[in-house]
Amino acid sequence: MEESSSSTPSSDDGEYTLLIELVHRHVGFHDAELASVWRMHGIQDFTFQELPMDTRHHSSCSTGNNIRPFRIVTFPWTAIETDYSVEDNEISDKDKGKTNLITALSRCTLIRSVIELWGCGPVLKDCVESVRASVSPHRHRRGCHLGAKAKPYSERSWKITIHTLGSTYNREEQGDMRSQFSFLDFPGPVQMKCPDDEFLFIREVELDSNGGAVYPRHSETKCIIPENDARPSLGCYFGRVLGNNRMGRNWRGSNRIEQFSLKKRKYLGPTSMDSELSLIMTNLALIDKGSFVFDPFTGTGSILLTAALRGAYVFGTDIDLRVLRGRSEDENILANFKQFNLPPPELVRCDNSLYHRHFRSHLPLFDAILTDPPYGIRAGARKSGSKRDEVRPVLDEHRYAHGINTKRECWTHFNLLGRHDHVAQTKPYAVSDVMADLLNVAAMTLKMGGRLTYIIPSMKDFNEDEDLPRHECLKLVSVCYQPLQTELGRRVVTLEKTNEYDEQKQAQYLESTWLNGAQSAEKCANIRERLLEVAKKKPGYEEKAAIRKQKRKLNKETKKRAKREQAAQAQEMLEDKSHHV
Amino acid sequence: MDSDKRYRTTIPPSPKPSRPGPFRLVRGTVISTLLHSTGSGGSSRESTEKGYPLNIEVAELQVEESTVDKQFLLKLLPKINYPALKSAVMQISNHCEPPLPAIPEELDVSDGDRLMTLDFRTLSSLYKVLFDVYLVEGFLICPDTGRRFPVKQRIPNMILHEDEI
Repeated sequence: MEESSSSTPSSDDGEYTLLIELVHRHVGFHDAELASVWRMHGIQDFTFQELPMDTRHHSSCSTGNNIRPFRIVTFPWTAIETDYSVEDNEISDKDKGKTNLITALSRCTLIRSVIELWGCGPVLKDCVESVRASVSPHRHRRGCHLGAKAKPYSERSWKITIHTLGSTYNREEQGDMRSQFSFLDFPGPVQMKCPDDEFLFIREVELDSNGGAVYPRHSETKCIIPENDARPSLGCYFGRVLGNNRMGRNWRGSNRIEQFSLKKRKYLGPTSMDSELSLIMTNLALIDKGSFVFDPFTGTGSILLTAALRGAYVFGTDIDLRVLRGRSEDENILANFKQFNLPPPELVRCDNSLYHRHFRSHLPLFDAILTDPPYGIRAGARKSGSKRDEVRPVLDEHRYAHGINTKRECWTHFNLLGRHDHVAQTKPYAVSDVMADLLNVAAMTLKMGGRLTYIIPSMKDFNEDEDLPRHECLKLVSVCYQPLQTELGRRVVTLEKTNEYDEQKQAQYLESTWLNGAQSAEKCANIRERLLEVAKKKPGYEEKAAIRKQKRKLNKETKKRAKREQAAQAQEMLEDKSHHV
Repeated sequence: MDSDKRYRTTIPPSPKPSRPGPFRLVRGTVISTLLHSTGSGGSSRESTEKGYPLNIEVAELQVEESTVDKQFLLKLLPKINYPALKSAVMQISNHCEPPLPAIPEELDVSDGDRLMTLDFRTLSSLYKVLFDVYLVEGFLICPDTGRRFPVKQRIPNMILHEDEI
């Protein structure tokens, strides 16, 4: 052992390579999320490497490089020695002043696992050769990057896991693959549960858009399809799993998607955002501990909740008071925050179209704005104002509210005091104006370099280069597309403030929001109606609609009947009581 | 409704001349440090210093302890209008039991170095009045026009009536 370590130069100037395995979901978000995680932790000195690809076999690879859920990243070895650490144990004296790559990357929602890549190649044989030639086993033997508290090489327990995406291999076949790496000859004991070192061999095959194999190894009847079995792999990778003692091989378990799943929340609405996408959004917006985050269309507060989870101080407004208040004492936004032990958010009912009338200053205030504006698919936007052209003045005796906010309260008040108090009227708020105001408020209130991340739904005819709303002070960082149906998809757009806001130019800013004017705005408006149109064209729409209608009618009737029965029962009870008396 | 009319981008009246800008943060007591009132009850529709700071009328107040986050406090203080905070604390202090800790009479929040030298006690009392006190029920009142903005279940309702826009 001593000899072999001396045979490699003690100050090696090689590279340190990581393989990042991503989840085969939200494919359009992979690179943008990774980029913002690098940026957030100031990790710069790395380069992306091309994935192994055997052009002889896969010249007509239909999927292309970008859909493969792997990224290879190399750092100079000197950087690992000075700036970064890859120790599993995060808190270590030696670690001070270093960025822990495992901690940094564990923020990335879409990462499944990260391995220290020892070798790779298009097929198993190339992979084995490249591991033989690699400096990594020698480094591992020296173990200086494993941390001071790590066990010495001869005592480290280990195992090799075989990971074959989308295809199944039996135990003997897996054993054959494992035995290819027997030359590594680790001295420590083999341990299946929580070993010190988990080595991972990955055999990558071509995947389709759903994450299944394009050429499955087994047919549906579990027989091997010979021609598919003979196909070579797309890539083979071997390396040591990072963070396995902290998070296991699959980091997704420690990501909080499940824990904060919508299903577990106390208060939900039709517009609540799923936890995975909102966690990704917090990364895109570079939200970190102590960020001050704003959501002008809070709704049920689902986006704010994930921002608070990242340690942000959150502030939300909405024009709809009912969603802010929630349904009851245990079903409101505050209850959701309390459920996860997060500090309560700041909620104010106000109107984003009148931001400057509600808020005092245009000083840069927020670190990030994170929002899902209303597009009229599930909830329509409204702003204050009367539907009439000529506004009727509010009578003075109605004006000074007694704390009345909703129509129902107004009626209670009426019953108590015999008079109405005024409920402020609202009118529809065109999508083009929603977006223009949103971008303008963001440009006004974000700090320099602060980010606005929002969601915009669109049909197929949407052109990213022309139709996205824009603002002079905001620079486009990334657009991630998520297909929802064949026709419909949504984009998560991230903008960064790069120029100071000039109040004199406000009118100009608002006018130049849409490049093609109403034509662009039209594309993200009225989506509900257009979806209906598409649905109507499908065969069998009428019959299905009729069935739905009947179901609705039945539901209504059963509800009515239940109510009537309840009332009758209550009546009976009363009568019974009076008899007894 | 014809589509032309519907998608016309409306341009709000050009906003007030730029003001020197400290403002107040929003939390419980301090909600009014961020919000201001313009254009209610027939006064000027442009925002002026007149509608600021909002007065606080307390019906119910809650104090919820939380741990002091010094870093965030230091980040936030420069954005706060200190006189407005001071007056807000004055207005609510008699409704608190036990009374709120005293905060400095004057503080130049724009002076970052000065803030760094504050002792822990001052910082924690600042933190407490900013973050731990919630106005559950009450009103925020515009000092200029007397417009009352109701606060219920901790949520201030700043919406304007249609004839105030």
